[in-house]
Amino acid sequence: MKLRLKEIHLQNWKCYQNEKIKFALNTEGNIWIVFGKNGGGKTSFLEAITWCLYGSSVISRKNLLQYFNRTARKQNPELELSVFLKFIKNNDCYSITRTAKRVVRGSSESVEIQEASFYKNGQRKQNSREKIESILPRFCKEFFFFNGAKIEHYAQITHTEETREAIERILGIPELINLRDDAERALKLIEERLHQASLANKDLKKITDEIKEVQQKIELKREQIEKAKQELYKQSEILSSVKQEGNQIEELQGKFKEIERLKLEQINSESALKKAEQEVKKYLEQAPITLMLDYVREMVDDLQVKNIIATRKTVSIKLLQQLLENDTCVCGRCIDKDARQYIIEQLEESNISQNRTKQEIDRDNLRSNLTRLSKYETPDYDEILDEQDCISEKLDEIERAITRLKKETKGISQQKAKEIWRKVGQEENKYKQKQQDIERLQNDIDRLKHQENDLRRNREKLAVNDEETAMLNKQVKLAEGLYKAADELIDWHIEQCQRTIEEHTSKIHHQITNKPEEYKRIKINDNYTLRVKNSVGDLLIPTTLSTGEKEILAFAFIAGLNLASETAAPLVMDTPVGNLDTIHQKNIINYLPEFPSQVILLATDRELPKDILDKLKPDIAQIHKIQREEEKDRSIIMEIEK
Amino acid sequence: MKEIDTRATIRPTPEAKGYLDKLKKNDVFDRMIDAYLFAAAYAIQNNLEISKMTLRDRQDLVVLNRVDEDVLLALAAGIHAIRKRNGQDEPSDSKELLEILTQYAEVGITELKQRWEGKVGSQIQSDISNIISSSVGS
Repeated sequence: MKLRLKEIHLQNWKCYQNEKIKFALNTEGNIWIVFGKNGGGKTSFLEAITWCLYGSSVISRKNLLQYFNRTARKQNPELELSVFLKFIKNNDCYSITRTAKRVVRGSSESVEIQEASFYKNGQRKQNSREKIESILPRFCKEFFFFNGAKIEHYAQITHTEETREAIERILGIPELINLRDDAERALKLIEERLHQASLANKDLKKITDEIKEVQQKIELKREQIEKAKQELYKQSEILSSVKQEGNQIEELQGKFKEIERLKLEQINSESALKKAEQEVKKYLEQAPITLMLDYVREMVDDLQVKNIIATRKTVSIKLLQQLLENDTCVCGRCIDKDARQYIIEQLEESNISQNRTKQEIDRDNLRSNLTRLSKYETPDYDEILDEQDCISEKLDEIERAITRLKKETKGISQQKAKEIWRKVGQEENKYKQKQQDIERLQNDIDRLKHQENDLRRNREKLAVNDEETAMLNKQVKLAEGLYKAADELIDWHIEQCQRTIEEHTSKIHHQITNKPEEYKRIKINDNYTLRVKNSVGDLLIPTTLSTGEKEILAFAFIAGLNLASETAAPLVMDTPVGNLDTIHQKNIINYLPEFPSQVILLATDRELPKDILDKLKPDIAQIHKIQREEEKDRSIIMEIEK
Repeated sequence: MKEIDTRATIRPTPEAKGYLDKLKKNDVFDRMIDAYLFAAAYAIQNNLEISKMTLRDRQDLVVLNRVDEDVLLALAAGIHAIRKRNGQDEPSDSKELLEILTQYAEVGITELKQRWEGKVGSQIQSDISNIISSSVGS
């Protein structure tokens, strides 16, 4: 029993001049994709659908003036725009059209909007609003037309009475309520007849009056109990919020300790960073040594050669001195006068050379320094830089964590913690008080019902004396039985539906959340507000969740609602995963093929890149692309190959 | 081999000093002198031409006793060795040696300025790492 969008026709609607899209419903896939760039017309497409269905309640009359196509408006100031939608459910075809006309009077402009026309299988139906409500209730529109860019909104969408009624409409509960109301009306009518018939019988009249009085009291108590239940719900919201605040403050104690630990780590890291920076500094200071190493080695070799020559010279002098002292040549003959003179001259010359000794010492020192330098080991610069970067990153992380924790603990003191827990106590007392009020009212109702039953039995005894009153009394009993049965059936059905939605939503949420270990299940309250039960048993209010988590929760609820209802509505998602982290993105995309109804995704290429598209391919029915023709200031929609 | 006189003052041109200042401000080098001497080493290693280099309006930067002695020794060795390789006269005193060192540093700065144009501090540091790695590997 899926309701599916088959066709959409846009005329002079924003960037579209005359665009018709047909969704082929005879395919296996349940996903239709409409690609478009930012500003290309995706959101206008979504707005067209909601405006066609709900008119001025979604786009005000004043704002609608901006929705007339700019180019067409120039050619025809009194332009007409229209949106046409065709849905298919079972074998029935529903067509909805809404049109608006721009009216120009002098310098002022206004818009005339026509009531939507609603056709079922080609036959025009009266009261289009009611008919549209029956297939896609307005207060549930966010469940079908999902704007990923406005996800903040989704934590609140189930908080109105209208939404509750709309959800119950999707679940088919109003039909049961009508049955109960009919039974109640019949009961009242018959009772009134019985009252009229019993006017002649004084005792019977007295009892009937008493029954009426008791019924009025019961009605009053019911109203009171309804009001008290609403107050109890509000009180539970307050209590839950205050408790959460209290828990957060308790958590803060741990955060204060964490700040202290991080501060110590910060000091150590700062000192490590200083050391690493010194190493980098030293490395860069000594970098020329590495570049010059080859030349240094060359000079060491050069100086070594010079040293060998100098050593040889020293050995020669010693030999000449020995020759003079011994007065004998190396060949054994005596040294003659000329030879002696030559040796003396040579030694005198070498004395001059001996003056060079200091220079040689310096050279030796130089050689030894260069030799040492030639063995210089170049440190690993990349390693030093990496280490510096690592410490620097760690320090940044610590600083960020401290800032975050300080922000989270800002303005919190022990005094405030005590105050909040005192407030928790007060709100708990108020909550218990409300519960007791309800209990007391329920006891009153039970007592009054008991009294009513006694009176009815007495009336039955008296009524048998007269044929008409006996017959009417019998009818009252039947109508009463029917009313009670319908009432019980409604309670049972609502409870069943809520449990079913809860089961589905919890299962889907568990499948798509990035914290499946932390978020255990979803609780759905009587008024369809949501709570997330965490691993320690706390029920979290959606407003305390992150933006992405709210979208995930809303998505799970929509899917759960679709699964639980017998009329699965199409889901049109604009910017479906744009604001989600990669895990949430992946989980939602993976879940889409399982979504129980038609899914239309209005996305950018970036949101659904090729790898994701390939994965979705078996479940994609069609892909359309919004093409922006800038020179003509319009967008066109065309089907592209899967 | 002559050594560099550590009492001498190194005196770059205003253009070089401007770029040295930029490197310091970008946290590439801790001191301008370190960048200047790295440029000299880079120029020697790549045997860049210094004969056409004219040094005008030079300004005092730092006295060389603030520099690691091993760095100065390595640079002195580098200058002697490259002059020898190129068949040029080796410097005869430390003053001439310092002059040649300045010429190499100036030509090196010009070259590195071009090489590092448009790069941010971390990219320049990474390039220095490449220059050094290729020197160690060669």
